[in-house]
Amino acid sequence: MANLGRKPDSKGPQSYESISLTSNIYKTYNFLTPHCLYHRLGEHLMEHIATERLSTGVSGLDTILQGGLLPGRSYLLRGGPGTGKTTLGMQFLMAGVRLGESVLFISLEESEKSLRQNAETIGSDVKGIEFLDMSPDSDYFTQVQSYDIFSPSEVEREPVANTITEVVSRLNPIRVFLDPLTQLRYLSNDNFQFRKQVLSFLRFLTQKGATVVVTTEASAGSGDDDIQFMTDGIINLGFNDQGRSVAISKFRGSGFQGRSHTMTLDRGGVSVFPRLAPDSYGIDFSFDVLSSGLSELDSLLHGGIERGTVTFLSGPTGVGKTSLGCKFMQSAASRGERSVLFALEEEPGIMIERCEAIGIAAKAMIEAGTLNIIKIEPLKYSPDEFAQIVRHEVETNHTRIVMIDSVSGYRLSMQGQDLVRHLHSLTKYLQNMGVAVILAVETSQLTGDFRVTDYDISYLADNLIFLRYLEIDGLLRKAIGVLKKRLTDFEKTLREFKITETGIVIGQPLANLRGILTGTPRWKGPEK
Amino acid sequence: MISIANSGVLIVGQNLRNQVLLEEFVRKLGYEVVRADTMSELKTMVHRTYPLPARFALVDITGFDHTIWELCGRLNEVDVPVLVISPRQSDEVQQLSYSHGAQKVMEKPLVMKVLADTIHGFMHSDE
Repeated sequence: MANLGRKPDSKGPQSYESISLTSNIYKTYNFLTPHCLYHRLGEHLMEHIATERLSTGVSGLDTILQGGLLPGRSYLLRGGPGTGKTTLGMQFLMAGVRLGESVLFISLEESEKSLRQNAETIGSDVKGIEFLDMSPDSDYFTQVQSYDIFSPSEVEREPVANTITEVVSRLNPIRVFLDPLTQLRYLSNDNFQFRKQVLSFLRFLTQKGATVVVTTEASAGSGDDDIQFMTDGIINLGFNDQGRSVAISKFRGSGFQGRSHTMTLDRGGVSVFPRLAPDSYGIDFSFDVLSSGLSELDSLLHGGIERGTVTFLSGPTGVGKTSLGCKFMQSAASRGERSVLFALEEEPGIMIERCEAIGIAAKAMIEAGTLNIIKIEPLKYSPDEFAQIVRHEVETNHTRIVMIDSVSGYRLSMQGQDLVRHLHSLTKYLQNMGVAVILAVETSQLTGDFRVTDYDISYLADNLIFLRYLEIDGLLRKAIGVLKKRLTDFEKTLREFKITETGIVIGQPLANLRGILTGTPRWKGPEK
Repeated sequence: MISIANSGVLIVGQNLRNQVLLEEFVRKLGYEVVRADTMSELKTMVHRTYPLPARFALVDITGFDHTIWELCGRLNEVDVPVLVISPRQSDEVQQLSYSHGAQKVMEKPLVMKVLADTIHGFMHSDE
């Protein structure tokens, strides 16, 4: 599997194939690691990049840039130390190498040897990149090399310009990455000279047909505001509370996805996870009613839930939300449709065993490809990363039911971000794609005052199914009911809900009980 | 290192990179160059070479001790005008320079155009 924006043979995250060969559990249950899913998605996206754009070598970034960079222009890659500027530049050049283009890395700071070593540590093969190493060697710091008789601008500007001109004229590169441009500031007497020189330099390169990416090292003492005005686009790399981020603040001649997007930098290089923009997606679909496979529940729902709707399964811990969601998936599997359960709290293996114990053949469904259970470690993935995994399941694997178990786990992955906004984007996207969404919504109270959710997200629900613990005559029992259904009417009664060895059992309407939602109902009339 | 030429510019200094840059610069102006990269080389040249193979001296005093002033005075005595190159603006350096016969004092970093005009001026002062 060729990882997105990386050398096909790079040692990035394990591929699906290699996982299948090396891990029994993955082989058995068809699990995919989230990163693996994402990289497959990236490959898919790369094929659709418009030809008039130049790929940055990072598919997520290309998506944000609406296909990639416009050729023959200059771009500023800015960010503090350690934000991944050089790595991203390498990936930009490697994307060109893969297309057989001539590419040039002009380094004014780091030596070629060091750059090659660093590339190796992240599994990148820089073969095919021409390096113009203009970094100072170690002798510079001895008396032999250091000087102060003239200013550097008088001594070095001409040789630097001559060397770059000679190499560019010889190579005619399609892509040039210069790291960092701010070094040239020291070769100018003043800001006016610097501005003129940079403009002239960028024009020289772009007129030669090159697409140029330059980096800057902005600091409090020395900003890069002037360079921001001179380039055609600006890519900002940085850190926030959730980790690395990337944001576009300028792109002449093209639109782009605004806001900040999640970025990761690991052994496979830079990956970008665009923030989900639900309005950009959509397919034609009909609101077919999907049966749960339980006639009593279907009666409550007047047939079932519809495609393209969001269903809340609300209730306290252990009441049976996951099992109930799996019933919808079992029913979907019988129609040959694929479902995915994102497990943000529970281990997939335990879920599978629990399903098997109540008559849901999860293992067979997984082997048939009609079910995938993906373990998501909430603190490991940002909402943007999670959204990419979901997109891959929907757009590549044609998943028709997506269950997120649970909203509490998803909230953990927010790490302080706006839960409602991210969940809104994700569910709207899934709705637009005709996917039936099931959200397990945990409520904190076992009995007592009735609450649908502990978060302000109930407006997202098209269908709201709730499960309650009841205490009747000293025994703990459960009830199920429907509180909301946007597209059709629904049964207004509550029914008893049981999980038995033979499966989920839903009883007849609890017609003689009153005060069920209080958690301690009382019989009205003769007890049944 | 001592290079002998019939008539040229003597450049004195301890920083080899500075010396190389100055030599290249002066040669580009069309003059021969004589270099003294150490105090001993300069002493040897000033006390034992006659006539001195230079019409003008650029003396970067950075890193030398007070002996440099004595040698500047000696250069002045043998009719070699001295331009003192100072690491910084300093009244004390200016005073010492002029009191030991220096014709001019310039601070680093030098501006190439100004230095070129100055060298031309000294080299053609008697025309």
